[in-house]
Amino acid sequence: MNELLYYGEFFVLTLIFSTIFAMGGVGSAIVLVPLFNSLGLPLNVAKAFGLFINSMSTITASIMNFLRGVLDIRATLPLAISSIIGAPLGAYSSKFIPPVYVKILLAMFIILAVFLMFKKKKEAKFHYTKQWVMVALGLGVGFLSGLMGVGGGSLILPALILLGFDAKTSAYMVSFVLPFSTLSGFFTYLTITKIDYLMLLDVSIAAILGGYLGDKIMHYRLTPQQVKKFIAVILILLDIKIIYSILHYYHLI
Amino acid sequence: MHRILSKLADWLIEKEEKEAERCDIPDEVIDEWLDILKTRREHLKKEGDTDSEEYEMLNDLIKKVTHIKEIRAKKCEIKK
Repeated sequence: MNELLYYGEFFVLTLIFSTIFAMGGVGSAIVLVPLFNSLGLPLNVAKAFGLFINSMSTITASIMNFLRGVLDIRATLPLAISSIIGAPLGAYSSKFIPPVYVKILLAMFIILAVFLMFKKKKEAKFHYTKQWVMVALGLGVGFLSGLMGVGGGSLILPALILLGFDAKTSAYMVSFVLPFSTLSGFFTYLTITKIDYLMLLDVSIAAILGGYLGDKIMHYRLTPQQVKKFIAVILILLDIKIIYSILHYYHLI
Repeated sequence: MHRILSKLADWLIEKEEKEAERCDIPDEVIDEWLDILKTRREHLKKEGDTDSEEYEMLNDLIKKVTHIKEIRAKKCEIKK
C-alpha cells in the first residue's frame, strides 16, 4: 500500500509539472530533480529521471505539433543536431573555463531575452530560419549547455526569442530540440546509476500525459500573448535558480 | 512516410476539432495556427518544393483549419 502511494506521489508530481512546463515548450526537470531528491531519490537517479521525463513530455508535444503542421522539422533539425555536437565540446571545455563566469553571462542573457520579448512588436520579428544560423545557434547553445551542465531549453528559448522568433514558435522548436540533448544525457546517467525501471515507467506515463495535456492547452487555449507571459515566468524562475547558484558559488548565501 | 503522418494528422485534427470549434477559445489561437501553416507553405513554394508530400500535408491542414474557422464563425455568431 505504502509502495503504491510512493509511486502515485511521483506520478502525480510528474503529471502536474510536465503539464505546466509543456505549456511553455520546455521540460520540467528543473523542478522535478530537486523535488525527487527531497523525496528520497539519490541525486544522480533524480537527474536521470528528470532527463527522461523531459524527453518523454517534449517528444509527445513535438509529435502533436508536427501533426498539426506548426513544427517545421526541416528548419529545426540542424539546430537539434548541432546542439548535440556542441555539448561534448562544451563539457570538455569546462576543464578550462570556470562555468560560474558563463552562468553570470547566462543570467544577464535571460534578463535581456525577457526584456526584448515584451519590447518587440509583432511586426518587428525577424526570420532567421537560414540553416547556417540554426547550425551556429545549435553549436553555441550545445557548447554552453555542456559547459554549464544545464538543459538546452533554458538557453535555446531565450536565444530564439532574441533572434526574433515569437514565443509560441520558439516553444514548438524547443520542444523538438530538447529530446536530442536530454536523451543522450539520460543514457550517460544510465551507465553510472541503478534505476528502478518500474518507477521509470510510472513517471514516463505521467510525462507523456503531461506533455500531451500541456501542449494541447498551449495550442488551443493560450493566445500568443499569454504564452509570452508564461514563458517569461519560466525564464525568470530559471534566472533565479542561476543567480542562486552564482551567489552560492561565491559563498554569499 | 508523409502519407502515414498525414493520416495521423487527420486523426489528430478530427479528434481535436471539437476542441477547436469551441467559442470560448480566442480567435487569435486559430488565426495564429493558420498563419504558421500558410507561412510554411509559402516557404516551401519559394524553395520550389510544391511537389513534396509535406506541401500536400500542409495544404490539407490549411483546408481543415480554414473549415474549423468557418464553423467557429457561424456557430459563435449565432450564439452572440
